[in-house]
Amino acid sequence: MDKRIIRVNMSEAYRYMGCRGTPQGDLLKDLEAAAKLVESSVLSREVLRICDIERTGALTLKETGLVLEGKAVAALLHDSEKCAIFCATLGSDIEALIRKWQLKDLAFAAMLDACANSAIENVCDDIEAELREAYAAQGLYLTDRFSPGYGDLPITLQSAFCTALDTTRRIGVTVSESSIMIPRKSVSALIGISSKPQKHRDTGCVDCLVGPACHYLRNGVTCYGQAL
Amino acid sequence: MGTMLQRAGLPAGLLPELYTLEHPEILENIHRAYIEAGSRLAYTNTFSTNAHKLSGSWYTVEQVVSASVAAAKKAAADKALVALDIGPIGEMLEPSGTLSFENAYTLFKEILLAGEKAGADIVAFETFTDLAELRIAVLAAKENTALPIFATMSFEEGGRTFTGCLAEAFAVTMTGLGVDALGVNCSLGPKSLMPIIRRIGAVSSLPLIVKANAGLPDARDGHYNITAEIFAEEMAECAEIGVRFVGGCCGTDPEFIRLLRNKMAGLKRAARAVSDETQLCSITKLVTVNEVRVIGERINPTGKKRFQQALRENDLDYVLAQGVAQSDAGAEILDVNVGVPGLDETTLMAHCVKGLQAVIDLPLQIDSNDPAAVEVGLRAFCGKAIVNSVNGEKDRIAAILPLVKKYGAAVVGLTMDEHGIPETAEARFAIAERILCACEAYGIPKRDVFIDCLTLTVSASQHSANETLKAVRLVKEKLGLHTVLGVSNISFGLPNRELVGSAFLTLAMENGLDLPIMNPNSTTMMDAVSAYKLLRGFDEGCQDFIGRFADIKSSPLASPTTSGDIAEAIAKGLKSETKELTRSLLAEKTELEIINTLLIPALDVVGERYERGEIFLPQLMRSADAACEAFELLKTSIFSKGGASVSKGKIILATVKGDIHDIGKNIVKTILANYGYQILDLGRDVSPQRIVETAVRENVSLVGLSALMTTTLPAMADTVNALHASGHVCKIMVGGAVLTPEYAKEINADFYARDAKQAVDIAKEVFGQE
Repeated sequence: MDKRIIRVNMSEAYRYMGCRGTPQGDLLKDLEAAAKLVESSVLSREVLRICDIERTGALTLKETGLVLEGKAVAALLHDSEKCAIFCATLGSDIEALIRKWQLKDLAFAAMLDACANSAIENVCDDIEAELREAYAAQGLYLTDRFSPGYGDLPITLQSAFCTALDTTRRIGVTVSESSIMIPRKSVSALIGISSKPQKHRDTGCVDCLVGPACHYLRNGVTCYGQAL
Repeated sequence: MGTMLQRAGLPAGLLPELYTLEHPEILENIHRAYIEAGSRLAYTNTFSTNAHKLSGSWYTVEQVVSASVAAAKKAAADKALVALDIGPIGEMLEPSGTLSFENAYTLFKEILLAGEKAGADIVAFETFTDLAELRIAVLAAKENTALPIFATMSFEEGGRTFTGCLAEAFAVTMTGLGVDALGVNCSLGPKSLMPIIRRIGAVSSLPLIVKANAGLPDARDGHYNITAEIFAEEMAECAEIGVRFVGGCCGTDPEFIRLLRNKMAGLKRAARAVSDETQLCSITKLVTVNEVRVIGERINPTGKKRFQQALRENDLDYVLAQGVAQSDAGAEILDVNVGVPGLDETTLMAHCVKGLQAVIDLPLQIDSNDPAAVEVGLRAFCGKAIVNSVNGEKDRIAAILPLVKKYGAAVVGLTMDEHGIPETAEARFAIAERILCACEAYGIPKRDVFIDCLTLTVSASQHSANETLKAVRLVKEKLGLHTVLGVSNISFGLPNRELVGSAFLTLAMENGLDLPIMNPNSTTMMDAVSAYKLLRGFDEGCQDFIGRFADIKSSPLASPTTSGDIAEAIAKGLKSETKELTRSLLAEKTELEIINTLLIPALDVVGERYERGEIFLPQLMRSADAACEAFELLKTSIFSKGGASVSKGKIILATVKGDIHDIGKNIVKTILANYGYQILDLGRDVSPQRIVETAVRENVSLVGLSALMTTTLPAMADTVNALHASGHVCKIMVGGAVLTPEYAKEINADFYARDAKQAVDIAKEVFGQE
């Protein structure tokens, strides 16, 4: 697998920290340094699998044992025949780096954390873009990207999702009892593949427990890293 | 095994281990096919058989293990041995994850006991990527069974595992622990594994193992990309490297084994060349003692009131920051001493060693008089450590050397005994010889024995420096051992201590000192090491020396200054200026006056601007960091006069059970600490019981809980309930990204804290303004 180029979107990272506007002066310099450090010290790994969708009773992905519960994912995949599932991670080095900086300079550690969030989202964007291109060549269309924990797709699916992708062995991602992926800068997601054009849905925040009180939403980003 | 089970019809989603119970005959046939193909060691179908992974099934670990071992033994008969196969638990250990050392140990122990009882001949730990987890597994095997141990890890190209473990660090650590064979399995095809097994073989003389995959899997269909013929061809290199055990992992089948066996039968296994250099390591870093390596001495409370206070208050961050600073300053090993009269040294040692490993990558030197603290430190440290120290006393040798041997550490021997420190170099040398003898009797290799010839204060006895230097030379030349010296003592009571220290250091290095124990934060001392390495030709092309001093020329631009107003310095987040202003303020005001009339009002202004959205989190944190500098100085000043700790009230902060997000909590902690509150930071993944116990024991009246996941909100509710049920009277504030004021109310928390500023307002309300 060729190494991906790790990119940080600074304005997105800035907003993850609850900031508005654009960073300036010393703050901009620090944020640039944090972005540079993330971009130069991190490598991503990923694992991808294409599954057939089965609709006998529950919505399941063939040969994985994965059952996809909830209205949101059903709506997303309603006319998809196949589904891509993947998991990508920045690995554990970035966590050690953030832990260390928390002792040296907490503000900088928070910037590293935000930059890493932006970086892993960019990796996922790249994976999605490649898939979109590959399937477009076959005349097929992709849905939006969707993850366990979005809308009413339970986060507790995370463990089975990662087992289906054999993430522990393939890319070193495990899932804790609380359904947290470790290393933490990891994202798992699914994308439907259909012969019909798909419309963009913003499904992630619909039905979310936090609702309009969400700090991210108010700041023009989502907790899963997309600018709205 | 996996390949064959899939072919035999293993249903998707079923744990392969459970298949044995349903179809023992299929398992037996698979083993038989391998043995007929020439396999001499059958790995049982137990890779994931731990209580954690079986938790959703009907079966116990013992049932699965005994059925699997039985199937393998039936097929093996007299033709093969049976290896109890054990893989990783599947959850990440602390500090990345939430699995504790003790829980992991218990899980491994259960499988191991069942395996030995069922009659396995050896245990094979394989596909591990976290050295800390493998180390726990090996300790569990050694402490509970007599099974010989095979240990293999999975590496990526480049020789690191997913968690960053270095191939050499794996080899050195496992060799120290005394496994019986070690090597690599899974992850890559034979060709890519060869450079890695060579690196392992270069630092360990133990028998080597290579169990390769059939190349790499296709991203779309999961099929592996090399044939049995190519596999055997590529594995042939193992003979040249001197690998003792070869086999197949993912994607291989009996045909691979048959061709491999035929191929290897025609090859002669080469003899191995293993380095006899002294190696120390952490999980991610190898330190070879083949030139001067600096041991940082700053994690030591002796004579440091501020440090003692930090240990008394369980302020681990203070200790860890000392570790990070020394590492940044160029220390290559860190001495860890946490002995303060009246404090529980073993608990502190465990916390410090664990904490240090989470933030720095240096090997540690466990420094204690108490054998129990030494053992706790060694058990917690993942890598190869140094023990500081034994001396010529029989009792000390008998208490410490078994621990050094068991955990595979190196050891420092002090040239003193029950009669004290001998005056002459010759008498110190004689003790060194005795210590070496004792170490060898315990099976500790000579290369892992370091001698400290002891530095005495030159102002007290002027000739002692000569004797020390002479003794260093004798030990180095006649015994061929590495030497250690604490160099700071030399200049005690003299003016210009750094000059005396650095001159002595240079003399000592020239006489054979390899491991100076010193203050790496002292530029003068580190300059002396750098110059010595340059002059003695260790610094190839003068690269390090030039690099070290090139930095000085291009020092950053002068930082912006203020008009001398501390409030402005804090508002702008200027650390050194805030510190200097505080220093000069101390001439006219008391510490508490400075805190109450200057620092807190300045922080209030910053907090208000944050609340109004004029500044954001990074600026708020910069100001807090600057204020921290002032607080640190004031605390040191108070403690040096024997004053009590500044505390406007005790607050517990914790991320709840199951949750591991802690940056937000740490931000709240920093800001609250700046307001003079004493924070009892219980860390992350904290059980309700621990929070209740601490609240009661320390009589805490405000508890702050953080959770960032919807899945951990129930744990927050449990904690709130447990606090209420305990009858302890306290207020509870909760916060975290997924929390809402409504949910806070629903779980009966007293306050919802949206951010760090609100947490301060809540604390003010609970404790009163002053």
